[in-house]
Amino acid sequence: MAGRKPVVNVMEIWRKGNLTEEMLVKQMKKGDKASFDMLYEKYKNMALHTAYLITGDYSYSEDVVQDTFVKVYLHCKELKNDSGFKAWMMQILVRTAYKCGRKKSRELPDDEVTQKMDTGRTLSSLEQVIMQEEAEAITQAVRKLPVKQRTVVVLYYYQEYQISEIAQIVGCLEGTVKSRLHTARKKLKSVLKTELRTTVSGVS
Amino acid sequence: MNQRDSWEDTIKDVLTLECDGLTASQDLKDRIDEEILTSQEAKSMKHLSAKKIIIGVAVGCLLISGGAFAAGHAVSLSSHSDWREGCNSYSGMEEQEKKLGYQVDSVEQFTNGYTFAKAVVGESEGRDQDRNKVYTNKFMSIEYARDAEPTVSLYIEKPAESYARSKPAEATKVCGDVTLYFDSATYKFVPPDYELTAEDKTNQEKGNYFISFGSDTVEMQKSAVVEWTKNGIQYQLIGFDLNLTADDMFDMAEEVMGTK
Repeated sequence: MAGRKPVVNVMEIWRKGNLTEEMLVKQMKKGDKASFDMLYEKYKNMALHTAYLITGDYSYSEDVVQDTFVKVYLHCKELKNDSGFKAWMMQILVRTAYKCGRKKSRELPDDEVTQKMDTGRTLSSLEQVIMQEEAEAITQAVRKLPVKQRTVVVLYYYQEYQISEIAQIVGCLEGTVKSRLHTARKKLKSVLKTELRTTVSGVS
Repeated sequence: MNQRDSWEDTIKDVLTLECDGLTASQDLKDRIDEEILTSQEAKSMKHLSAKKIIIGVAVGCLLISGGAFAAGHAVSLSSHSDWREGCNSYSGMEEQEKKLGYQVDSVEQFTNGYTFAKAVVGESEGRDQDRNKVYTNKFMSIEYARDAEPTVSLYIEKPAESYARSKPAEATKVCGDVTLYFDSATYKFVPPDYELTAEDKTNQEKGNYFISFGSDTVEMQKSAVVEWTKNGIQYQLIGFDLNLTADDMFDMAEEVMGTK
């Protein structure tokens, strides 16, 4: 029994708040599955939402998250900077989502978008109708963007990443991110102007 | 870029609403865990016995020289067997054949002195590029030993998928309606964390040798294999750093077939 290493209950330490993300990454790199599970718990929904907004389909977004976290676990030793886990994980996720998009090349049907947007909402006033139409118009306009522009929009507006962080995640220059964002904004603005003009004239 | 118009402020709200209620299911986590486990098993098999994997992979579709390739859907192949389920004497072959489901050609001793050491029935598994299992197949592995020399293995199976040769064999011999194909290749066995040198990459590209991760030390070994198909059953007589020529191995193959 002499010389046996004490068993460290990583989950317990994490619960007590004494374990940083960096420590979890270090443990995971040593093959500790419990540390991976905790990192997964922390980021699973964020990853799923991002994948969903990029791919536009729930089942595909689950595939993207699955591939992402499997890669994360199997290739974690390739992560040089332990404190950069989130950005590294997002890099994998975005690339996987691109790959998934290229492979399956599909868009969510408009009626499905509408169905989701309708859930749990009532049209009790003109204001609500306009708000809902606006939300719907934005959703559809984002969906119609090319995937690289859509990704930048999701990371910038939804995840609220800085331009420099987005550049790191998608693997391009900051200037390219700015350019994509500029083009996307222009398109969204144009689409929204048209959509909202139609909506307002339609309900009034 | 940081200054946003009023319409932009709603984008986050709309995207948040779009994801409202989306949560990662337990089923998703189960699938992730399962895939990790499968990958680790395949990886550990490679690490435990890179040489055996290469030999195992030879079963059915990938000749050791790269001279043949699978024409089916499987892009990766793994195999496993438990020697505790095998036999250590030739008298146990009947039981192994029962497990395999059909009778095979084999010998207890070759005229060159190689003698039956053990046999086992295992299972190979082919997966497509999406890691879906496309088939499982039983195979038999028989090991022959001669003094302290490297062992010779005879792998036998009914191929689950068809395969085709991508280049001519180094040597062939026709025995009745059966053709024997001889191929050889050089392998560089390296530890799992080995980083390829520029020389390795060049040699790989030129096909001078194949790199196989998983050994404790770096070592070069030359493989030799004779392959033939008889009555729909594929046989591969294979070994590393053997003191045998192609003709010696052809002779052994003919002894297995019972034509010599």
